[in-house]
Amino acid sequence: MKRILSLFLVLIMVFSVSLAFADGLTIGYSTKTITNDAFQLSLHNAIKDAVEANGDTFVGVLAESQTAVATQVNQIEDLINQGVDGLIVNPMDSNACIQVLEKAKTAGIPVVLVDQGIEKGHEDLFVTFISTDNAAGGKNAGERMVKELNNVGNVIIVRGANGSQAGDDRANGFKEGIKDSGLVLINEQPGDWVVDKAMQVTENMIQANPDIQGIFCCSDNMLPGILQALQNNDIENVVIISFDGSDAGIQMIKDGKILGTVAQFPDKIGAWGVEYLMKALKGEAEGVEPFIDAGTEVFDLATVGE
Amino acid sequence: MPFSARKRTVLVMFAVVAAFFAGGSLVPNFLKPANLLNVIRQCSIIVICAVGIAPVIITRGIDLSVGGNVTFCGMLTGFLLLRGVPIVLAILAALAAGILIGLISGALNAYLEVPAFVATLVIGQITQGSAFLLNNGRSFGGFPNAYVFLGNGSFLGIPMSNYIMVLFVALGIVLTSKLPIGTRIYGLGGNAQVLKNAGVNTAKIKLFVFAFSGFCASAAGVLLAAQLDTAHPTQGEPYQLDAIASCIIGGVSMSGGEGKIILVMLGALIIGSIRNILNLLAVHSFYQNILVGVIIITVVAISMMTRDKRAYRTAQFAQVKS
Amino acid sequence: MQRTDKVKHTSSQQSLPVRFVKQYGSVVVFFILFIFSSLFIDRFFSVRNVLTIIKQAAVTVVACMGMMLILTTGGIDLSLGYTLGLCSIFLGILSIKLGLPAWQAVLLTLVLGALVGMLNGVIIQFLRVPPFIATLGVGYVLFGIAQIFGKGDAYYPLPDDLLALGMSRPLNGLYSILPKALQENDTIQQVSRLPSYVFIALFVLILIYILRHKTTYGRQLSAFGFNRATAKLSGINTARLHVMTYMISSTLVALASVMLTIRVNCAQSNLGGSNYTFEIVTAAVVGGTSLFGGISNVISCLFGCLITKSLENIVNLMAVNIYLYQPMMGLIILLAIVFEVYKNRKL
Repeated sequence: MKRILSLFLVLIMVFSVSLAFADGLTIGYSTKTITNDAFQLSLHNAIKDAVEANGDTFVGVLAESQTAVATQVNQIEDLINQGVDGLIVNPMDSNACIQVLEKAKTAGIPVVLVDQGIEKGHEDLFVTFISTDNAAGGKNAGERMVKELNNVGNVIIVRGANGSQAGDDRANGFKEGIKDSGLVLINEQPGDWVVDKAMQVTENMIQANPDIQGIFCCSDNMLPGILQALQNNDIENVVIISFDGSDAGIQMIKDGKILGTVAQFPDKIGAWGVEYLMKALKGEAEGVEPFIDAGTEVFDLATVGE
Repeated sequence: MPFSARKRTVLVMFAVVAAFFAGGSLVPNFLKPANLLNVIRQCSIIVICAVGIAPVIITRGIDLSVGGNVTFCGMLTGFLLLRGVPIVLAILAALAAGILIGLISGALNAYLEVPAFVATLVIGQITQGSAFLLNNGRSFGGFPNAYVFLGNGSFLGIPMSNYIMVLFVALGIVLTSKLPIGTRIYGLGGNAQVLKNAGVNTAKIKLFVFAFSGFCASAAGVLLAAQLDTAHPTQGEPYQLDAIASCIIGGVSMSGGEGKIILVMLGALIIGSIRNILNLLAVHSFYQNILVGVIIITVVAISMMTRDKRAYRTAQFAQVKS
Repeated sequence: MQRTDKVKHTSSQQSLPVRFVKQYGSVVVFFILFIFSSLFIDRFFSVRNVLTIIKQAAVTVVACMGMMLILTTGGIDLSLGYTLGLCSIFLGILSIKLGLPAWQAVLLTLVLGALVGMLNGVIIQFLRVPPFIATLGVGYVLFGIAQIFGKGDAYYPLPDDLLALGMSRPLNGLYSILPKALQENDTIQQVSRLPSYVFIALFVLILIYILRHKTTYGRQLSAFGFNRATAKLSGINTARLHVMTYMISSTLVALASVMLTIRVNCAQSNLGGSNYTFEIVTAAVVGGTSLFGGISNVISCLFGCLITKSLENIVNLMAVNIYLYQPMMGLIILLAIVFEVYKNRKL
């Protein structure tokens, strides 16, 4: 008796957090996580603000894990069954969402993709895909690195966690960017998006070969560890290019600690995402480009100014 | 006051019905047939994993490689399918891999006396890591239609996944209550020393339960990849926690010796329903995990407090750490 | 009859080398690994690299001491990684946002660790929830709290007085009075620059060694781990022992968190990454700690930590394929564990 009562109590507690749907349209947004991720947080808030500015209801669901692919699929299915009017999706995996997007199509719910895309050949499943191409951003960084080092030198990459699509794209893009140049990639190790791991692998990579001229870091939030590792080993004059364009990264550019960071524009992505979804809902989305690039830019001292 | 097995069955069923009614009354579209069938379909993966892990827990062990196995066997299926291997062969290969992985864990535990916790944890790390190697960190997708049908198609209006789920539940019930191995599984969990004295080969029982768990995890991995039409090198991860949670809600004791498969299935349905309801209420998946954690602690704490204290202590004294 | 002849049960019957390997197996494994790597792996054997490994292992050792104590009771602490993150962001908020002086911030963080340990201990001892579940549940809650209060922020850089606690160089004074010839020696130079957190780890190591192997508490801990009922019957206050062990452990984790936060000069709520607890448990098990309770050894655990950190160092040095890292480490650790378990049972 006690057990069932306690279980019931728990369930009641949960349901007391129910959502009342207002008038207007309901737009669902499905993504992986916003914790410890300034970019995702900005994107999420940009979409929320745009939706609510129209007077509509925003329903955001987070799979809240960097890896729970099936959770996201389940959540989108649930949103469809719940009867949302439109969907914005940031897929965790380029394959997994295809099935559920088919269901959205059948249900007549227009879908806009942001940030991550899905495999080619399924363009009929979404209105448009707005993103910064992580690979293109990485390539930008690579080309910039070549320029900064005058086409000669050793570079290392501090990657994100294994299995992270964005991280892999950035690193691979960087490798593209330095491909036919005089730069040599001597080592790359995963920093797991965490400061202490980034510091540890950087220390070890320095140990393997202290002759490093450039470092590409797949996310601003790993930078403190990398900088500390360089400082501890008295290594100076290393060109560091990072990714994200976060406030922390910009501050480090101003402080002269890093050369630059590849900035993405989550605000643009979010705002345009909602704009195109609204167009689709009004039936005005004919002829929209399947992919819209919100652009990346290597922020450096010149760009961020004082 | 001790709970008899029958009382527990009634209570769990009551909890399921209560959950459904609560969900239905508070959340707009919960009781729609489409949503309910969908809930069960989403639960099918959890159910299969839970049915596999239950016998292990009943023998006083634990299997922490479920997440890694689901991922790896899904990736293996994808790897083979995209190289043109016929669907049936690819699935059989994945199932064989699952059994093999389970046997390795079982051998480590039974013959080398490595504690199950550590053995399965490390094996799970190895399988998870190997999943990344199969496609250099990327996922597989675009599987043949017949295979995807297994995960998404329907027969007579009911999703294929649900039939497969029921099949595994039936298998689990037969194993634990209709076959002699079943009694030995409960015996091993209740009092290993008595079993050893009676001359039963406890090592073989352990090998069997771990192999069965590996088998179920691999089947879940195959089914999940079919449902998603994707094999992603981390997609099995959430099922580890949910499988264990299902067993605990279903009355399987962490100290071994008790638990019924049918209740484990209901436990999995409860967990799946809670997740579904919370999704519909737009509760962040992370807070869902906290809730699952709190539920587990509450259920275990209460079952510990209501345990027949004298019988429990006698069993503890008699228990030889094996 | 014949079976007892072959198996030597009491330690006095076993020869010295056998006894040494049985108790300090991980020391042997470490030196084998060290010699092998020095011979065959480029740049492994240098003062700088060895000191790097020591610096990386310092934090691990402190956290591992805590885990070791809990494993000795036959339990486990799955909230370790989450405690690490929570304490880190707590320290960051106290010292940067609230501007508290370093000593206060660190002390309060240690108190937080003790409270977490008390929570774990109470749930496990009095609510009789198995440690596996209790600590996992508490861990999730801690993670949630860290997210709510940290709001995903990271604090960088840390204030100078806080950094000074961990990053000052205690041997510098000694170095400055050395004769010039010695001062120019590279090895001596590098050793003199060892940061204070390494010495904090050394201090903790000595402290826990005394606690575990030289006090009544340590003996009672072993007894408790071997057989709880017997320990209670022989007069040990098992409830107090049990809860106290969790408190000591989580305080050590909080200290490790402070050390790591200072080391990386950044307070982050997901410090350590998602795998940290697992890394600490493997270090303890490779260090000969029995998961059933009762058996553990401080020196052995120290070398367990050194083994895992050396392996990570070697993998980075050799620029191994990033996806090969996890399964390879898993296999090596599995071998080490099998060896440890075999040694505990058969020798």
